[in-house]
Amino acid sequence: MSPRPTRACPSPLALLLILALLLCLAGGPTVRASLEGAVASRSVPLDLVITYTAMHPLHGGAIVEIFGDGAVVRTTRRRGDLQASIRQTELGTDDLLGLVDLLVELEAWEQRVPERPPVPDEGRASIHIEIAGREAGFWEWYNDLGEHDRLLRISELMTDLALR
Amino acid sequence: MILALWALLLSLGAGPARAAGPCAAADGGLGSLVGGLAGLLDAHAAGAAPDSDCDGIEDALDDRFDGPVSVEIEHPWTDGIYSWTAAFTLATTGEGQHRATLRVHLDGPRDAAREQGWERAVEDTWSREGLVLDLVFVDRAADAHSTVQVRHGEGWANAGTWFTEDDGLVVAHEVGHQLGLLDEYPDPDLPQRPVGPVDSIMRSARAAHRPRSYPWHQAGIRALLHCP
Repeated sequence: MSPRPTRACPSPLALLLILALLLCLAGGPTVRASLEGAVASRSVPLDLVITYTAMHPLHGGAIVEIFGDGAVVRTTRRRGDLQASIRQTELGTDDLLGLVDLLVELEAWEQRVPERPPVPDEGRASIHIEIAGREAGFWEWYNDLGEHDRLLRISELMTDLALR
Repeated sequence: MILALWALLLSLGAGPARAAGPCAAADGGLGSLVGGLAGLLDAHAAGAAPDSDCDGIEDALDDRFDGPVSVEIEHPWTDGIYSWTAAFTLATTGEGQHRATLRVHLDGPRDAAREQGWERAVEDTWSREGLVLDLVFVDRAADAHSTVQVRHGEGWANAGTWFTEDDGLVVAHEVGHQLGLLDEYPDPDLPQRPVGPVDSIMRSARAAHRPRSYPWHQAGIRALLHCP
């Protein structure tokens, strides 16, 4: 009877390195790291998408999407309208960087308002960020935007940029 | 009158409080009376006592007592992610009609003309199909079925918050929730929600759609009394 072949066990250090490599491959840099990198390099990645959403099925509202290539799409719908109106424009790098600066300043990847069940017709506004294959963002109750002055500052800047 | 009715209920063996059902009776003597009446109504719901005219009094007793019966409704609702409590007084008139009374305390800026406009729109919207709605704005929260925050300017009105710039149709929609009705507009968060006609007040509050209540709304309100 021949002896069973022995298998070489990887060392704990090698396992840790493999795990770290897998984590990097799976996730890439965080949204925070990517935004801070854009601020440091003063350049905006083309795959950046920033979306402000405050659209209510009953009350209407607005959605503003700003892309890393400078494209801006603003969709608005008045209360009760079935049709939305869409406006598109283009931004320069300075305007985009100004927005990224604000996202970093306000740590727009961090949710701070706690979850609770809404009452009927209560709605949220949100900021959603996509960059380097990762997503992050935060939301606030629409009627409380003025209390926090966080999402409101971003939405006002995005709306200003969309209306240029 | 009340004592006589209470004695009648006791003689019928109706319990002093409801064992089941969506209506929660208030505490105290009057609450017990209401609970007794509500217990009788639940007995109807169970089929033990037919009430074909839905006046809250079983048919066999209609000739002995055929007056108004008033029940405090307090019913928790959920609609997907949304949750709230419907609370109001629902009374039978003894004539097969129903009267709902909603007492609301407004917490925020007050304006008699604005509130009069809201009241008119709300009552006009909901007083149909054998139901009369009386909306009353009360000064003390303790006297109210619910307290609504009122804020200056425009916003997204909801069941608990109204805005001074809201028109009467928006308020009528929100009052619908306080009467236990669900939204009927398409909601991406609730893809299974049944969608009502575009001129249903629970789907749209825009004047251009001439929103109104439909018979299923009044039926839904009356259903809290388990009327047939």
